[in-house]
Amino acid sequence: MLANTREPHKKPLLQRTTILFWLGCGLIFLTPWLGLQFGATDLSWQQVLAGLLGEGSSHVERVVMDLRLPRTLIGLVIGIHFALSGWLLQLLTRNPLAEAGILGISGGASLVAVAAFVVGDWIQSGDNPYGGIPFALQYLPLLAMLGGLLAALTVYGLSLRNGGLSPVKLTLTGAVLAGMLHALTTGGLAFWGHAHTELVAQWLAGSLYGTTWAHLEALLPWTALGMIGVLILLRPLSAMQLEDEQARSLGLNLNRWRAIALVVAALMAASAVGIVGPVGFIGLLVPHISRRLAGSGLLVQFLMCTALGATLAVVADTLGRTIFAPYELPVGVVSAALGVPFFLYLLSRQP
Amino acid sequence: MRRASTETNITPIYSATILVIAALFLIGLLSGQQWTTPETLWSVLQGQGSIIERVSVLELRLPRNLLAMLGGAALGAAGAIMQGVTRNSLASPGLTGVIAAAAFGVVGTQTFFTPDALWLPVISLCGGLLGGMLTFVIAGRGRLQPERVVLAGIAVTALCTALTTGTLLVSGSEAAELYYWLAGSLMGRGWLQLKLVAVWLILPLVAVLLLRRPFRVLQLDDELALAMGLAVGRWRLLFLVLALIMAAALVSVTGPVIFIGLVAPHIARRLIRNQFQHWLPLSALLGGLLLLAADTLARQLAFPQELPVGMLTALIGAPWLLYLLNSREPAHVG
Repeated sequence: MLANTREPHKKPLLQRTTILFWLGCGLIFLTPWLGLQFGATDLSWQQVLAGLLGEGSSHVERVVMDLRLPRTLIGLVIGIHFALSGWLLQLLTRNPLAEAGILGISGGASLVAVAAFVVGDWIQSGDNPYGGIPFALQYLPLLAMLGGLLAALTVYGLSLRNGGLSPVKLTLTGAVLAGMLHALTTGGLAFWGHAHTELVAQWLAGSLYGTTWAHLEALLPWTALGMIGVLILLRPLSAMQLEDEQARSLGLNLNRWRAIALVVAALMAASAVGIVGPVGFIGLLVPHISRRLAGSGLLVQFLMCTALGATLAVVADTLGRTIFAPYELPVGVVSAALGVPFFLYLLSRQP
Repeated sequence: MRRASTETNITPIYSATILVIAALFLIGLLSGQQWTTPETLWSVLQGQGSIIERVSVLELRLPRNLLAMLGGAALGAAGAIMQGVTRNSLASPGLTGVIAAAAFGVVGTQTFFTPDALWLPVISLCGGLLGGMLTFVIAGRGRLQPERVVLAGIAVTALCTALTTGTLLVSGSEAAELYYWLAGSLMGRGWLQLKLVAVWLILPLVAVLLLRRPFRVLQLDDELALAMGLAVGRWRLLFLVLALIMAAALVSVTGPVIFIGLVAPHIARRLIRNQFQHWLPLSALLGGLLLLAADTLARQLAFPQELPVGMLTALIGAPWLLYLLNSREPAHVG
């Protein structure tokens, strides 16, 4: 499965790492610029710079500072969230097909978030249609996380009980659960969503449309927490890649670390789902590319995942905004269009 | 002969199923916002009763029940055909991407062209055919492993769902209505919708029920079937197309209703043991029973509101499938 990650040539690794590092840095700084510059109206780079420095016209400043900058930053952050979650899940399950969406984590998070939205709206059904959002916003990542974690544990438990965690079986179990959760979400929304159906539907498509600084603030604590979690997990993870018995002989409590890794993965994915809705396939695509580029070192893989995930999400969002302008394709749709062929390619390589 | 001792008597199963369907049908006619008494029902059926009673029974409940029964039967038969012909106990319209693709076809055309309702089954059918073909092409030629087909179906479903959601965002004022439709529901479906799909459901259903012998032979080994003088490839294709027609046509009026096509044939197979000549008809009957039951529940559970029936079937079907996946190796049929 992950055999292709083993790097036969050790020597040029350092050099390659340096190249990759600068490449990653370049990408993570350059692609947001694209997000800032292009959209319903294209700005020149001087205008963007002026807007960022607060010297542009009020219109440009508004577009850059209030609309595009928060949106692009959120794009970066959710890309990191989904990519790292996918990376953890793939390491954890030793399954190249694992991803938050496919394992039902996003589905569970969505269901709980929609339920919270509907209930919260019902509680304080005011006149202002957006009234429910700021109230619910800071709780949404937490609630979504609970849903995602529950779904992940269900899938993991069901597959474990059955003995082996074969990639195909785990994926199937997750997909079935995801299908059920999706049907429940659609049903619940259709029946109790009332006036908010469109708004929530937009969210369910995985869209960065209308994200503000408040969304970013709600998301960032979870990003920090998740990053710390991943850094703590790095060493146990590298041991987990060994055979189970070898890892145990190193004195590692495998099951505990697996559980922690699962929690961190669910936290990363579900908190992002709570803010922007389920965005699939970034978590599938990015870890694979990162492993190809970075070789077997987990730290390099981690950095690569971070850079590429952020880049991919922003690029997908910018594409979605510009292809059919003035209409917007949600980032979730663009990433699915990119990711599904890749999933099929991976599938065709499964024995 | 040993036959009599090893095979269960099939007649009680049939009669029990039909009895339950009849009972559900009766409940469906009586229940609603205001329950009709049996006496009123009788008088309505004789052409008497108040206008309100007549409308609610004859114009609202009767066609809806008929649609549930017919549609469920079509889904059950379609599932049995797909499972039997591909010898894959996980093949069903929902899991092979057919339903999602059909739904995308409908949402897409509704959004961009607003076609005449008459064309909806055809559009849905085209979408479903494309989705099914895509799944089977991706899953690979030759021997189709059950899991692989389903995984390919999942990928196709994911793609179609994403595209559908994207389209919905563009469709503006119709979005809420389409969203409602996407949840899968029989609410408000009347004679108009029934007439729209009846042909697409009844003709293939009758055809496959008449063609039970080739269907039985197809479930055997390819070589054996060839030896019995059956053009395997052609028949298999014909059956699959008939199944797709039924499933996709139903989607065009009710929206996606998943898992019935999976569950009904499985229950049927448990009941008939090894008398496979009865599998297809019993699957159809059980499909009708399940959808009718699910619809009746959907109307009553959250009274006075209605639940989407697609939500209920998913809630019942998914645990079933999970059990199936995790209890044993998905067996081959036949």
